[in-house]
Order: sequence, then structure tokens, then C-alpha cells
Amino acid sequence: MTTLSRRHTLKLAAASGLVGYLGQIGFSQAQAKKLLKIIAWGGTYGDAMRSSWLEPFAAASGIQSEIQLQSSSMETLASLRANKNRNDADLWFSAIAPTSLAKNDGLLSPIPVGQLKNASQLPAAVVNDTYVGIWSLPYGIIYNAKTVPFEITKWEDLTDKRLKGMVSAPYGANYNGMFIALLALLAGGDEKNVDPGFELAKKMKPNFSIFTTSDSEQIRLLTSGEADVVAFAPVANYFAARKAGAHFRFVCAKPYIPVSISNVAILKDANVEAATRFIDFAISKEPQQKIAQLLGCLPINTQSDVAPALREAVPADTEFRFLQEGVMAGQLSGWNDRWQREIQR
Amino acid sequence: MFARLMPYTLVAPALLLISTLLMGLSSVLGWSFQGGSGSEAASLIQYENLATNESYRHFFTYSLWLAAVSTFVALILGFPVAYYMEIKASPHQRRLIFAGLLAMFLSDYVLKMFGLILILGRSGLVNRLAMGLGLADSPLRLMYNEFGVLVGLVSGILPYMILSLNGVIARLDKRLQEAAALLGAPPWRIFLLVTLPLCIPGIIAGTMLSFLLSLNSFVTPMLLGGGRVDMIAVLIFDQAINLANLPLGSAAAGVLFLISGAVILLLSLLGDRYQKRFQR
Repeated sequence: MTTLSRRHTLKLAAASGLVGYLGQIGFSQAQAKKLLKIIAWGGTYGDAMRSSWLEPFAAASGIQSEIQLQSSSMETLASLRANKNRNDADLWFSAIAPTSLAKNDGLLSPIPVGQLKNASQLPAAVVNDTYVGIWSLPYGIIYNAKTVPFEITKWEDLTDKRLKGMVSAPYGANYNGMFIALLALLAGGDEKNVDPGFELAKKMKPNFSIFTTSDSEQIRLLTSGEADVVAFAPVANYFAARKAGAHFRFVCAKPYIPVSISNVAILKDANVEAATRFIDFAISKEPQQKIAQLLGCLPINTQSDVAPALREAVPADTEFRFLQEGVMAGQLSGWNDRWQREIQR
Repeated sequence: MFARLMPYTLVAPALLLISTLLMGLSSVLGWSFQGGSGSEAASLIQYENLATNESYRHFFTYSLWLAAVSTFVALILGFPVAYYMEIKASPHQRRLIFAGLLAMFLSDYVLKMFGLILILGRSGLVNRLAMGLGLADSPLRLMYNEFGVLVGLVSGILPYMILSLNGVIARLDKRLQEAAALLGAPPWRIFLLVTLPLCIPGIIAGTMLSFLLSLNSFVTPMLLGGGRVDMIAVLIFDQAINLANLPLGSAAAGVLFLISGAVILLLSLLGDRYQKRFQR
């Protein structure tokens, strides 16, 4: 029979401890894999996602998920680029422009569209192996009916001299350049030729007083009385401003209003199987209806009902315009510089 | 053995902090040498962009100008306060001023800027007073422009300027001023020829701190500039975060770092030169 010396016993104990520790790490990592990490916006958006998607999905599938906050999807794109191949999130909620740029940089995993049972209930244009649409947001003009001397009905009203120094506009190419592209379309250009849009913006320039960088800033400026008109805002901002008073109006400006598609993408090295199940759940009828109700956005699922509040703000006869955000993505930097140089200064 | 290791143990946390900062900085500088269009090869194209694009150059020249003006205003406003606090004020008044400065110094910067929004806003205190006194018919635009940013910058750097000056004024040899007075020099001459030259080390230290704080300012132009006041930190944020253009944002940060280093070097040399002249 072999007897162990004290030194050998200690070595053995240490080795066992190490094996146990490594086993524990492996177990924790396996556990962690069951946790779906989602990069998404906070505030109202995060709260609505938790109650409409994350919690019911966990109850239905047993897969827990958590939100890693982003203040904007471009910020996340910057972080993904900086931490290439060292990303630990699975899903990313974003807009089309940042998602397109991320795809070009090889930061995404292809979505197995064939496994999405509910995909057939979505418009075909918003389902592909790069992203799946999750809701759409109509954009219009918000104004303070107490201080604005006339009823705003169309985009061209933003050039009216009576609005001198009363309008806040997006900073640079904020909102992924949608305002710049919209002005280009209104003035006879398009997403590839924005020169006419800049000419139109120059006519509005005397009316622009502040340039905003975020939704929350728009709401703060409106409700504090610092801005009387917000030239380009998602309808959700109107609902937030409306809490401060009934004198705020949302205008589905003529001739049409742009609609942005928010989407979800699967990140590189993600838990694709769980991520796909989550997407399929999020785009199904009931969760879509619930989140649309909470956020005041349009559900992407064609079988879901539109929230009454949104129907009131955006009448059924409103004409929508979907912008080519994928085309716009590569031009944002140039637009941003030009907007700062020619319009903001 | 323990005694020999002691100094290393004491400096270890500082070294760790410095090395973390240096790692972050080198990573940023690394990004700034990346070429455009996803190219991995090292290149100076981002720096070339910054140098040749008029729009980007404007961010730098305008920031330098705003930093210079705000520092000058802080010096003009801060000097009398620091002087009064040390020379004229009673111990009770001194304690009160010091408590006020400390409150300004320690309060959160964002909170201070929000405070200014409440004061300078369209329905803020100043506008209500101006309209109440009949000095204005409609609200004046006191922020979301250059004026608002300058007020914000000055209010941010003023405590640093006053405390830097105060340290030097407290150590003034008052016998020199008394000697000048005995020789018949009027007060303004004593101030210009005796007091002010003796305060130069404090002026240099306060200028250095204030100028660099203003130059690097981000919160003030973001909250009080309304997108109309272009400062370098805003350019860095815009490029690196809003447009996810890390190479250009990093290059702008690199240039800002170089400018800050040059300002420190220049003012330190000026201080040394003055010190040597003064000691002679």
C-alpha cells in the first residue's frame, strides 16, 4: 500500500481544488450561455421590451434574458467595432443604417430566417438574414399650439417666416440622416442626391434655433418652453410631451411622413438557437400588439392591432414613405459634416 | 526585506492607475492610425483629414478661442475675489467665500449646467427679471449659443482660477507693498508693479488649469450650445459615437492631447522663466 507524504497530499488537494474550480467555471459558462444578452435602448423602450418580450419569453421558453443598455445604435456599432471578436451579447436592437454598416464589418451572424415561424406575418421587406423588423416609428412635426401662430400642416411650413427662431432640428445626421433624406425627397432629390434637400434646409435655417441630439432632449426642450416646434420627431416623443400638456400637436405633415424600421440582428458568436427563438417570439402577434401599445409605435406584424392612441395621432389615411436607409448608411458621415457646416453654423 | 518592498507597495496603486490610463490612451492612438474603408494598414489619413477639412479645423480653432476667452474672463472675475478673500476679508467672510467656492468646486458638473439652464432659459430667472423690470419685451436668447457656453465654461473654471490665485496671494510678502507705499507709490502703482508680478505663478497655474478644462469641455457645449457651438470634445463624441467613426474620433482626441501637452509645456516654461528672473 502506498502512503502519501504531507507534501503530496497538499499537492493533490491543490490539484483537486483547481479541477473543481475549472469545472465550476465551465458550469458557470454553460449556465451563462442560457442567458440571452440583448443590447437595446433603456427608458420607456427597455421597460416595454421587458414586459412585452423578455418576461413572457422566459416564462414560455425557460430562457432568461437581460438587456445591456445602449444610448444609440450607432454608439453600439462603435463599441462593436472597437471590441471586434470580443463581444458577449447575442442580440442587438438597432436601426437599418447601423445594422447595414455592422454587416459590412462582419459583426453579425446570419439569421436562420427559415426557422422563424411567424415571419410570414411580416412584410417581406423587413425579414432577411441580416435583420428582422420589430416595429416601425412614424416621424412628424411636434409643435406647441399655444405659442405657434398658425396651424402647421405640411413640411414646407417649416420655412414660414413666422417661425423665426422657434424650431429645433436634428443635430448633424441624427436619426440616421432621415431628416436630410426627407428634405431631399421633398425638394426633388433622393437618398443619393441630397443637394436639393440642403437648399431647402437653407430656407428653414433662420427658423432653426437649436439642434438636438436625442429624443429626451427634444422632449425637454418642448416641455420647458425652450423650443416651440420640433421639426422632426418620432411619434413616441409626442406621447411623452403630451404628458406635460394637451397643447402639443403631432402633425403627420403633407405630402407624406417617413417611417423608420427598428430591427433586431444576431451578433457574431451569439447563441443563435436561443436568439432565433427570441426573435420569433418578439414578432408574433400578441407580443407585437403589447409593445406597440406601450411605445405608441406601429407593430411590424400585420395581424397585430394598432394602438388607439397611435391611430388618433397618425390617421389611417396618412401616407407613409419608407426611406432607403441601407443606401443612406454609407453617406451619413459626409451628410453630418455638411449639415454642421452649412446649416448649424 | 519588508522595508525594501514598502515603497513599491505604496506606489503600486498609482502605477496601476497610470498604466491603465496609458493603455487606454495608446489604444485610442492606435485607432487614430487606421486607414479609412476598413483598411488595417497604419496610415496618417485621419490626421490629414483633420488638417485639410475646413469644417474639422473650425472645431479646433473655435475651441481654442473659447478656451482663451473663458480663461481670460475667469481671471478678470477671479482675481478680485481671490485678492479680497486673502487681503481684505474678515476671517468670517473668508470662511463664507471659501465655503461657497468649495460648494462650486465639489458639486456635480452636469448639475451645475442644469442650474444654469434654469437661470438662463427662456422662462428662467434672468429673463423673468429682465421682463419684470421692463428691460426686455420678449425672452432673450441667453443660451443655446456662444454666450451660454461662455457663461457655462466660466462658471465651471472660476473656482479653479480663484483657488490657484488664492494660494499665491496668501503667501505674498506684505512688507513689499508696505515699503512701496512708504516710498509714496499710489495704490494702483503698487498693484501693477508689486502685487501683480508677485502673483504671476498663481496666474500661470490658474490659467493652465482653466484653459485645459475649457478646451476639453464636453458637457457645457452639449447642454448649453444647442448644437451651434463646435468644441473639440463634441467632434470626438460625434465621430466616435454618433457616426461610429472611431479612427477619426481617435485622431481628433490625439490632436487634443497634443495641444493640451503643448499648452502645459508652454506655460510651465513661462513659469520657470519667470521664477528664474524673479530669483535673480
